Amino acid sequence: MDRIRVKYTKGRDVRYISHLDLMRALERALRRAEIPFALTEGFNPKPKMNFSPPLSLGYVSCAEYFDVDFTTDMPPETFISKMNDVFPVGIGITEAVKIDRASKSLNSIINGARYVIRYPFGSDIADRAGEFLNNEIIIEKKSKRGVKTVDIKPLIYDFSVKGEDTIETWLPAGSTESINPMYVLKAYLDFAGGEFREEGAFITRTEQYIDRDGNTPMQAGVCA
Amino acid sequence: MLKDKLLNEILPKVEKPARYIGNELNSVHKEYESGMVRFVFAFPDTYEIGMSHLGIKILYHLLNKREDVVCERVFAPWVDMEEILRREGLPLFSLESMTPIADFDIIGFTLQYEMSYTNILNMLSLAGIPMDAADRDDSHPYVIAGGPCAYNPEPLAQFIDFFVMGEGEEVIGEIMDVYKECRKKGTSRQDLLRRMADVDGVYVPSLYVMTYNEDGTVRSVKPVSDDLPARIKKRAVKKMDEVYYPDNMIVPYLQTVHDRIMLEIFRGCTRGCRFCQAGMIYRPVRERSVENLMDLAEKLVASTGYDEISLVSLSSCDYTFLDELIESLMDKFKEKGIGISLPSLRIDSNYVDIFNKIEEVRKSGITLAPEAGSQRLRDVINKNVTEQDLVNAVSAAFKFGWRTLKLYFMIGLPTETDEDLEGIAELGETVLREYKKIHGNTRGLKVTLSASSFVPKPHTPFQWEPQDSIEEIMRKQSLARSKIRGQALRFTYHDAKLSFLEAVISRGDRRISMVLKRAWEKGCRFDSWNEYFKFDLWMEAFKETGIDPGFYASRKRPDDEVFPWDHIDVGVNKEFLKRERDRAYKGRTTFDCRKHCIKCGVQDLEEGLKCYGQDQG
Repeated sequence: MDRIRVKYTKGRDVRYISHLDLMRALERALRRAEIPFALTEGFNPKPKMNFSPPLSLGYVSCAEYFDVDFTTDMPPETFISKMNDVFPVGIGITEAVKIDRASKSLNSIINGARYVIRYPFGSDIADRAGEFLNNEIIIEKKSKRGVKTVDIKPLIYDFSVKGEDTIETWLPAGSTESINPMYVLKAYLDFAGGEFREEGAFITRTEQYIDRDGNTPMQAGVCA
Repeated sequence: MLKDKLLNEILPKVEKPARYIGNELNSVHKEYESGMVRFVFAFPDTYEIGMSHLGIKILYHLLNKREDVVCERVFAPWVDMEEILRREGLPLFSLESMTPIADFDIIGFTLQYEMSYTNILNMLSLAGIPMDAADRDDSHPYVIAGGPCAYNPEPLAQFIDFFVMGEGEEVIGEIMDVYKECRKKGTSRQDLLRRMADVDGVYVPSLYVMTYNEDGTVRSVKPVSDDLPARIKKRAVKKMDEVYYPDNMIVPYLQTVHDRIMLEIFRGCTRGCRFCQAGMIYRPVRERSVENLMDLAEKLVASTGYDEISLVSLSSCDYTFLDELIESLMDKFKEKGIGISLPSLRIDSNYVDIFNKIEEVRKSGITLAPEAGSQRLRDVINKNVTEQDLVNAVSAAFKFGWRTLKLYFMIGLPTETDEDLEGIAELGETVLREYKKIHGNTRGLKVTLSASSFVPKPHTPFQWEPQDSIEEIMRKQSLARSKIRGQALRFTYHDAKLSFLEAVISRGDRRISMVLKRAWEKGCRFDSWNEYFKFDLWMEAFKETGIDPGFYASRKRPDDEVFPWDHIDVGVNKEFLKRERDRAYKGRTTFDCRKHCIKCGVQDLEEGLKCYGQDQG
């Protein structure tokens, strides 16, 4: 019995679909594609799956992940083509590998993600990325318990400005620590003297990592 | 462009943006070409409620099968979205192509519930379409409406160009054909409406005049010319196996109220409960065959990927081949983790076996509807179940391990006394005793006694009945509650004020249009949503329009009164309804007519329209 790790994209068309709704959509796709997935025990059996950490509503991604267990073996290539035949517009699988059934869940191994932020800050804001990273970066983090201020500088693993409308950054994204790239954009605009409008940002998660060396979930527990 | 603005700037700001996107699996996106008819289905409530509605699912796919029609959807925008649309001066838009609603040729509203009517007016306003049908010209779309509440169309007569009576599968195509033909010829709006009136089942209110007596009752509803039908007959399909049913359905991303495959096993109901409008207007009973249903189930599972199939009808346990159907479905789908559910359950212990079988795959609570607390009152309303039936059913359910039970009742039924109301608590106690007999105590048991308020509805044996006043309903609610004791029993009830308005509108005439408009102007919408229901504004609307709501809700009608809906022919005739009403007064029941015809009139509606079991000669 196999476990397969799957890398998929969440495109523009589905960027307003919540994590929970997307999980359901993936489950239904498994059924339409007649994948021999294993079911959980109990009164309400569900496909045995686990997912990478949630992506914020409105963001797109080229690197979302899920694992799924099979009852009978199926080559990853077959899985990819069957699934891509039945997905709704906006979702597509790019890679799949067979992994060890004893491997840890995606949520527990993923600890960082790279984002590309598109934002029209214009030519009058010079690239001040270097200076930005030389100082404390205090942000107000909103949570259910209220607002607290934190210095996120040590949590920005990488940050660079590309041209007049693009930022690339690598941030923690996992079960223990997580930074929303929108905070980083706002902090940078505040620092560089640009106006922040949340709806002006278009954010893409380009990869998720299991360590600071740039290894992805596809490099963990892969079967030989 | 509207679409870009919505996607990039508006949607990030609203709650549940997935309500407005419209690119769900199996949604249909057609390129509009000139010559095509652009139709938009409008559901006057939220996306989650609208997408649970079977009728839209059927007609959406049916219309989109035609190459000359584009059918899209629109739902009532939630208050946050409405606020943004109004502030930004943006029009109400369709989901699929994000086209302004006013650019469509026909807007089809479905009328499921009277308390959604203010949402219709609000949607027209957001679309920038004149609210009154008389104010629309050739540049405006046709606003049409169908669904169960259309059987009394008059409260909406001022706003709707034409109504469609009955089942839509056949008539919707005829309407498209007439529309296309008229448009080709350049027919004026007036003439097109006249042509539509010739389509069976179509009612054009502007071609009918309603006159009133001095006492405010209706004198007559008459067509403006002799060549128009005096009565409009509802449409009903003859053979269910032959009528269109979609083999794929839109799969919403958002969790909707009924988020599963809906497999319609039959239409109509022969039980004859006297308060029930659905039981009268959806006659005759017509069943699909097991083969047909298995075929549809297989296709729908393959095209949707849902993990649950719900067997839908008004009284699913009455399906002739229920055992066979469930066995076949379970054989086919159980291993795949696909569950089967029955939305309504009658009180009968035989069915608990069936239910238990189903529940091996999917476990949920059990719901029974005794409707009244005493046998006397159950006989009055023709709910043909006894206390023993209930005891047998719950006892069987408890033996199988159920611990959650819901019992539905109605408060304010004709002839009801305080003793009947005390019977609600007594039934609750009886249920507890049955549980104790099996488990020794009531630990873990949760019984909800849920009471709605009786609303007399058109085309039912109780259409002549007054509704109890709000105060009386509230008194009865407290009385029923005061008798209910203990941890295991919970009592819930509906807002009496909402039921009062429902009673006014459901038996309203054309003057109610004024009230609806006034209430909407004052800010009423989403009236069936507790947090937005503003009863005081409704009362002001009545006052300002000079309409007495009590005239509609609380008045007992004499036998010979002309009703605002008498010109609508649902098949079941007034003589039958009167006969049933008289039997109700005497506490006499009428048996289920599956075996013997009780001459309700529906088989005379149309040549070849037969009740199930009477169609094989």
